[in-house]
Amino acid sequence: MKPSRSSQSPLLLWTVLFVFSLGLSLWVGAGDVVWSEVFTFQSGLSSSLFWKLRFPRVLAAGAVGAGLALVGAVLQSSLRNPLADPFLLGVSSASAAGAVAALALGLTSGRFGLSVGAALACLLCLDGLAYRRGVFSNHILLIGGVAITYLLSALTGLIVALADGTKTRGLLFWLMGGFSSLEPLAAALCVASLIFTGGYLLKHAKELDILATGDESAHVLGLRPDGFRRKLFLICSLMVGVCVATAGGIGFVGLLVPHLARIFCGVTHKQLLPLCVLGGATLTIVADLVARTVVAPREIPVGLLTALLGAPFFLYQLRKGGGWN
Amino acid sequence: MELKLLLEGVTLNRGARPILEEINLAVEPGHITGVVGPNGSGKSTLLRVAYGFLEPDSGVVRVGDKPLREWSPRELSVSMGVCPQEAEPSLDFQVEQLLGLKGGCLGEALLDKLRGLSFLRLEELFPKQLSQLSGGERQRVRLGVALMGSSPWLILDEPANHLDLATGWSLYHYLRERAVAGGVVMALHDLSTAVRFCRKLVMLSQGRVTGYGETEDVLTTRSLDEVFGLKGRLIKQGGETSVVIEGVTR
Repeated sequence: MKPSRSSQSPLLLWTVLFVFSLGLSLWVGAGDVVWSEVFTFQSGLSSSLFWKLRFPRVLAAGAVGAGLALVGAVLQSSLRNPLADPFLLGVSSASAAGAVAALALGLTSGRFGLSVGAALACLLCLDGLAYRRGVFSNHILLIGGVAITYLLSALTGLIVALADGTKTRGLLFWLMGGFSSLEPLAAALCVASLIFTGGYLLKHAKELDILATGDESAHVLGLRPDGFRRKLFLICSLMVGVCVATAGGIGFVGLLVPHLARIFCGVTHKQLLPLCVLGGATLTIVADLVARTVVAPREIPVGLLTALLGAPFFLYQLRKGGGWN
Repeated sequence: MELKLLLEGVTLNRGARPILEEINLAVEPGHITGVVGPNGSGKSTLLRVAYGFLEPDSGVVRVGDKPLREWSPRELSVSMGVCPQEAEPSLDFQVEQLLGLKGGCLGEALLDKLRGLSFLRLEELFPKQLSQLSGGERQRVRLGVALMGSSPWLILDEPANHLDLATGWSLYHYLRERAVAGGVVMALHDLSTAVRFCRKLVMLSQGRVTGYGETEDVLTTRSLDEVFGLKGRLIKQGGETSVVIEGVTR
C-alpha cells in the first residue's frame, strides 16, 4: 500500500489534534480553576494550581512524548529495524536503573545525570558490541539490547526490593511511568532537551535518510555511517535519559508513533520528524489527561495508558503496511 | 581523467582466514576492467576495499597520489559511482526520493541528471515504492544511483544482476562509452560478457590475484581449468573473441 503522498494534510491534521489535546488537557483537571485569576497572573490558589502544577505537567507530558517518538524514529531508521525503540535496546532500562539508583541513594536531582549517563553507557556498549571487523551488525545490537534490558530491569528490581519501605511505593509508580509529583524544573529540562534534539535531527534530516538506506549505501552516498550513528546515539541518550528521569518508563510511544507517522507521510525524515513530535506529544498528553482524571483523585500510570490507547489504533492502521521494504 | 586506481599490498583478514592477500593492482582508466573469479574468491571484498567501505588490514588504496582514507566521504562519493551488491534499504523509500539522495534534487531537475541513462527507464519507476519493485527494477534503481553524475570512476559489483538481457546489453554498451573518459571496474560472473566488453581482467582465486592483464591473455584454457574448473577455450571469429565452455574439469 502506498503512503499518502501529500505531506501537508497529515501535518495539518496532526497539528489540529495536538492543539486540541493541549487545550483540553490544560482546561480539564482537579480543582476549580478561576481562569480570570490564571491569565492575569494574580497570586492565589487557581493561579498556583495552574502555573505550578497543571501547566508544567502538560508541558512535560508533551515534551516527553515528543522526545520518545523522535528517538524511536531515529533508532528505527538508523538501525534499520522496525522493532528498535528505547525500550527494546535497553536504553530506557539503563536510564531507569540510573535514576532508581540515584533516588534510592537520595540524590533526587542527581537522577538526571545518572539517567543520561546510564543511557549513553548502554548505547556505547551496544555500539562496541555491534561492530564486527568494521561492519555494523544490527542483529547483534538488538540481541545485546534485549540482554541489557533484562540485566538492568533485574538490577532495578533489586534496588527497589532492597530500598526501605517508605520509598518502594514511589519507586514502583515511577517505574510504570507518570507525571505526578513533577517539579517545574524537570518540565523545563524536558522542553529544552526536546528543542535541542528536534533541532539537531531536523537539521540532519537528509543524513538520516541516507543512513536509513544502509551502511554501504550511505558510504556510497558520501556519509560516514559509524561516525554519524554515534552522534545520533549521543543525542538519543540525552533525550531518553531526561525523559526517563522525569517520567519513568513510558512505553510504546517510541515504537508506535514513528510507525504510525510513516503510514501517513512516508519514510523521509523531513516529513517524518515533525509528525513524530506532534504525534508523540498528543498521545502522551491525552494519556496523562486520562491518567489524572478518570479515577481522580487516584492516578493511573501513564505508561499503561499510552499502550492501552495507542496499540489498538496502531494495529488498525498497520493493515495499510508500515513503510518497510 | 588520468588518475589511476592503485591497490598496493592490500591484505584483509576475517578471523584467521585472509579474504584478500597481498593484492597489487594498478587499474587504468580508459577501458572496462573486469574482476572475475569463482564464488568466494574475494571479488566483492576487493571492490569494497577499492571504494573505501572496508579498510584493509595492511596495504593502501590510492586514487592518483592520494590514499583513499584521506578522501572525505563526500569527495569519495563524487569521484566514485558505486553499485554495491544487493544493498537494500530497509525503509520503504519512494524511488524518486532514493535517487534524490544522490542527485540532491527531485522532479524535473532529477530527471535531467538521469538523462543519459534512458536504458534504465527510471522515470516510470519514480512514483513507486521500493517494496513494489521486482528484483530487476531494484537493480535499475541501484544502477541509477551509481551512474548518475559524472564520477570519473565507476565501481560496480555484478551490475547486470537481475537485469533482463536487453537492459544488461545496453548497460554494457553504456559502460564501454563511459570508460573512454573514465575508469570502470566491475565484478562479473559471465565470462562471455567479460570477453566481449572488458579490455583487461583481474582474475582472483582464494583472495589472490592469479592474473591481471589483457583479457585474452588472462582467460586461457589453462586458467579456465585451474581457477574455474572449466573446460573451455577462447575462439576468434571475424575480429570478435568469444569464450566457449564445453564442460567442467572437476
